[in-house]
Amino acid sequence: MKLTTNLAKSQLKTNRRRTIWTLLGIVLSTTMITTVYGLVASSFALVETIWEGAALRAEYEAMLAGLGIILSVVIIISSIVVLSNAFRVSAKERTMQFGILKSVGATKKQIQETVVSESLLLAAVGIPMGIVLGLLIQLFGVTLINHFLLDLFQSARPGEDMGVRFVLSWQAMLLSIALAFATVLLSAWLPARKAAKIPAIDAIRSAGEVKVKKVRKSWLVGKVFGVEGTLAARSLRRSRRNFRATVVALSFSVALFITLGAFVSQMNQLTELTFVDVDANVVIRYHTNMSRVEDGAGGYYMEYTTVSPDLAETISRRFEAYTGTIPFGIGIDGWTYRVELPTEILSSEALEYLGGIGGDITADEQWFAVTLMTLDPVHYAMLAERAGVPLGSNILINHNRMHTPDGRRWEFEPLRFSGQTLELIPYEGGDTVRKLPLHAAIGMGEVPNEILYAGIQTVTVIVPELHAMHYIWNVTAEDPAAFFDYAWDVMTETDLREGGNWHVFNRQDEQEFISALIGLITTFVWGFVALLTLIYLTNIISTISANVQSRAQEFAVLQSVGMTYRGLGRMLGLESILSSVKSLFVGVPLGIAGAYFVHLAIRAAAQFAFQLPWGAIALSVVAVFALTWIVMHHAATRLRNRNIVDTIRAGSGV
Amino acid sequence: MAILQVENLTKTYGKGDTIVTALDDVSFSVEKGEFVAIVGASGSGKSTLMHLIGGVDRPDAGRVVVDGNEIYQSNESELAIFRRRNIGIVYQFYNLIPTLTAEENIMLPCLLDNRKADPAKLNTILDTIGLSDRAEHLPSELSGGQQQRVSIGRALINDPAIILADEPTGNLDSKASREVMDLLKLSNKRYNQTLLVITHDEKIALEADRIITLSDGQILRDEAVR
Repeated sequence: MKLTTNLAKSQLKTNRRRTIWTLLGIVLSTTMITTVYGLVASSFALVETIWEGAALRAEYEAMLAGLGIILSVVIIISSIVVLSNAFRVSAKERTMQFGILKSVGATKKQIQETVVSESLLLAAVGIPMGIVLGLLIQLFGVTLINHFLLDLFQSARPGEDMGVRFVLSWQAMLLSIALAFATVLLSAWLPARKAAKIPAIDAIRSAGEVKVKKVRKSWLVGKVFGVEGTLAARSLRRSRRNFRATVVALSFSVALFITLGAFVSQMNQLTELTFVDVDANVVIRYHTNMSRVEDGAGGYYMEYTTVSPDLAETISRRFEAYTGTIPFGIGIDGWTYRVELPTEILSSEALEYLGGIGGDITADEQWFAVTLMTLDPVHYAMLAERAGVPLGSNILINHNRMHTPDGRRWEFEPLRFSGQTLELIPYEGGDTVRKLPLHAAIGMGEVPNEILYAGIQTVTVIVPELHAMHYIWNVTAEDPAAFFDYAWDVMTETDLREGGNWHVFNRQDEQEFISALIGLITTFVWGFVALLTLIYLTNIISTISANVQSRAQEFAVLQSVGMTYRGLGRMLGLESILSSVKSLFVGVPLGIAGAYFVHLAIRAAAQFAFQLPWGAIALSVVAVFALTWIVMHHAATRLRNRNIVDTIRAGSGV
Repeated sequence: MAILQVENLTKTYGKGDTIVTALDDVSFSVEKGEFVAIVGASGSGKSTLMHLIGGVDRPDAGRVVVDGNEIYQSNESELAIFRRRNIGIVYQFYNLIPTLTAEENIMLPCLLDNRKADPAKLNTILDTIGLSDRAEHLPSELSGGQQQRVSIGRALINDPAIILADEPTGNLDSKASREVMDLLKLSNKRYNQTLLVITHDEKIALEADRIITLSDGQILRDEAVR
């Protein structure tokens, strides 16, 4: 065996404890990379089943691949931080050995080789273990997904084999091996290069000696914590590199923890927010065909087919026949017309809203899109009665609902109604102005939720008859699952001459699906955080104990000049507090920033207020203090069993 | 009255076949202000004796009485406090704390006692060891001889009952050795400081008032010089 490999081997044996932690770090990084790519491969297979040959497939695949890349970059960076530190500590321990080797003629390359061989030996064991563990986790994950989602998948697409499959993709496996190997190699090579650069004589001379640049006196720490405090602060500053690795690792875990904690809580908030408060348990939506038509002047308008009142009525009847209840039917036509209203008839809230989105509220008139809606005859009659007007009247829905940028739900009556007649101007151009007299208005508290959820705008009018662009049936069925199948059949059998597409939603299933999905995502997110934190933990533990061990002699001297064991403990405790505070100073703001980014991403889907993730912050603060204290305390306890005399002598090289 | 009494001190290392008796029933006493050299071949038990007197190790049998206190009846914390107040230790390899300046290293036993060192006393010591202009330097910025003088300063700061020096010149060149010995002798003469020096060096031993020669863990000779 080559000499360099031999030296690496003996170093691994000398410091068994750190070897194990480093190995664990390599195993965990490999595991995570394998899991991520394995799950991406499984998702690819799922996408293939769902969107076979569809245009969207490429986009979904790109999205999944992107997600895989982002996650693996996070993993790889974390691993390099952690592993390179481990190899750095190991190389530093052998500075003297390297000096002696150099003085008898070892080249830079040979010194580098000793450190790199160390990593190769560890990789040879760690990577296969990591791959196996990663595949097991992937298998477990796939089983978990299927357990939670298979029923729901099947109810969404009856008769199709919709599960997520465990995919043993050799591409993903090769990629994982290559990335893990590159990570380990790079982590070893960085400190190896540095160790090899130290001139032989310096290496021999500086071994065991600590270079301190400049002492900054921190009297405050000394005053408050006594001589133990001064010693703690000084040693933190001295071995800044050692502590930096710990601080970086701690900060990263804290930041990740807070970010993902915020992600999970915001996901939950999102589900609450998107909860639709209507009685119906099955909803059928029908959209007609729409196409974009260029108007020849650079703009465009949408051309669409319509749902005739007859067709809507026919379908409603069939639903009614099955359930015995009358479906709440709503036909909608938005964006066909616009209207110019005098600014003076807008309510103060409407003006506030307009001003908020950058409208010019000093102008005399304002443009609005008009949403026309029609209801099934029964519910239309109820609404007309409520408004106190005869059938055939046009009823203004004087209720607008939106979310302010800070996430509040904001509802108000937008118009001052006084029996106006609206002059509707078609978007598609032309001069044909349609006059729409408003016979009545119903305001806040009187509008059924079904209408509110159908898409109200500033100007929304219920008209008796309408050729709608899309139509919604809200059905309350005794047995939603059975009705779901029935509705499916009805929509399939109905001759939709104009084409278009339709969906049947079982709202109960939908809710279950969403909560299962969120539960699943939450599980994976926490699994990810837990594994990554574990990688950091290997580093934190090995650095802190290496640090304490390397100062064993210093501690023994302190004891021999009269520091009590308790004083020693106090000093180590203060060191852990100082480094915890430092990492929290970096990690907490970073985590809050991360949480805010998550918020921005989620806000694209729904608006709600950003809340500081206090729970996650508090938890991470407590965890950081507890962790550093436990590790330092443990390391110090091991020192206690040592003989002061032996330790001093060993350190002196006698 | 004797400042140090060592009575029937015995210490063994190892177990079974590998058992080594480092000290075998050693007894002697030292008067205040005496300068005693302890000599002997390596393995004769010098260092073990020194560590037992300094309270950093524990004997298997026997007593050590320093200034009327039997030190091995104390627990670990009490022993640490005893060390900082009553014993000044000087090691062969200086063993200064690398993050503390020369001045802070000297003050360390006081600081550990939560006391501020008397500035006049500190200045006298800095003056005596000839490092007034290097008080703010870190150990890494000092030569070996200077570091050893700092460690003597550290031993002197609390007016200890005994100064124990373990091969204090073993790592120094002859000029620095001379300076260190002069300093130790000065403290002995000027402050009537009790001094126990372990050494290999015959010349240094001859400067003492009394030489105790150890061999195989027993006192071979105990004689006054001149």
